[in-house]
Amino acid sequence: MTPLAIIVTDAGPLITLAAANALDALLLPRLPVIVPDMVRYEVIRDLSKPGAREVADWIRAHEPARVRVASTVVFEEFEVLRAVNPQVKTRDRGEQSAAEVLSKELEGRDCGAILIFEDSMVRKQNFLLRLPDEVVVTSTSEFLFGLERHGLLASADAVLRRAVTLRGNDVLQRHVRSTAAAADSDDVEAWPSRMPGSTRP
Amino acid sequence: MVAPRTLTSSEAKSTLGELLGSLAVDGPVSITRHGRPIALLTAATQRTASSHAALSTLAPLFAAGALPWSKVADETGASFGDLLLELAAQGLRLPQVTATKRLEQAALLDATFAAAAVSDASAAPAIAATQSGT
Repeated sequence: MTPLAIIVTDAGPLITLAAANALDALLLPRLPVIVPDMVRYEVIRDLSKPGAREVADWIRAHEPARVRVASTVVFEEFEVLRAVNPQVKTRDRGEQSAAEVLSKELEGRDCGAILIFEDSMVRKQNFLLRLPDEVVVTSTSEFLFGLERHGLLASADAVLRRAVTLRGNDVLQRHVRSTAAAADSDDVEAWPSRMPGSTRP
Repeated sequence: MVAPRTLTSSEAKSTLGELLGSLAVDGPVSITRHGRPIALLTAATQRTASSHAALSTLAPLFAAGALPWSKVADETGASFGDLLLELAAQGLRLPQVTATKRLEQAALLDATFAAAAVSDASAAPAIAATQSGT
């Protein structure tokens, strides 16, 4: 069988699985997981966001044996642009970096890849039918249901539900608590009450 | 909607400290020069509230499969984790989409799962263990 790698094309699958405490679902025997550096940046640039810390820890725990962060020109260029303009958007660069990684992986080698997209992003991928037979595109949910069909996962639906359920979800609950604590610490009374043009007494 | 307060650029310059402190309480300030508006000063917290309102509106469209994640991100500046939280708050589900593929590609994906199941029988309990609590 052609050797394969799993390439994660955007932040969605990683954050979804992190929120569901199921990142290890990506770790299949003899299938390395490749996270383009641009995608990793998108996930961990703000570690206070739900799931970001969990993904960062998971990558660190499994790198390099099972998870590899792949360097890309797309990310290098983004870093240059960000140095000039810190507000530059990451728009579509995750997918571009995944395409670059895929191209490098396939270059002169008899191998293939499974590309995992966030579900809503799969629909717009018009190039998919032009991919070689050894490259498969799948969505987060399709991947999870595939694992379930083969007895590798107890319930795909449970994972997908848990990612969007607050009750009993430590990852999401932690963010809710920290947001609430930040709101409580705002001291409205400390702000000046009289300003030029102010209607407040 | 209440019109923003108006200050001249000279007034804004001489009271900048107080002006910044008042934004979250009294709302945005329109700054004029020679009688013409040249800037709108807005509190960051108000922009965040506005983004959250947009996320709240767009989350149902995302859940229904009518809007891709990239559009939600562009419109709101939210992270995917923020979107998951909003879906949770509104009791919405994640969209589920099956990727288009040729028969050979579908067969390869299926064979990959089958090989994984056979080659490492111990993988199933390990992954299933992450589902505890459901």
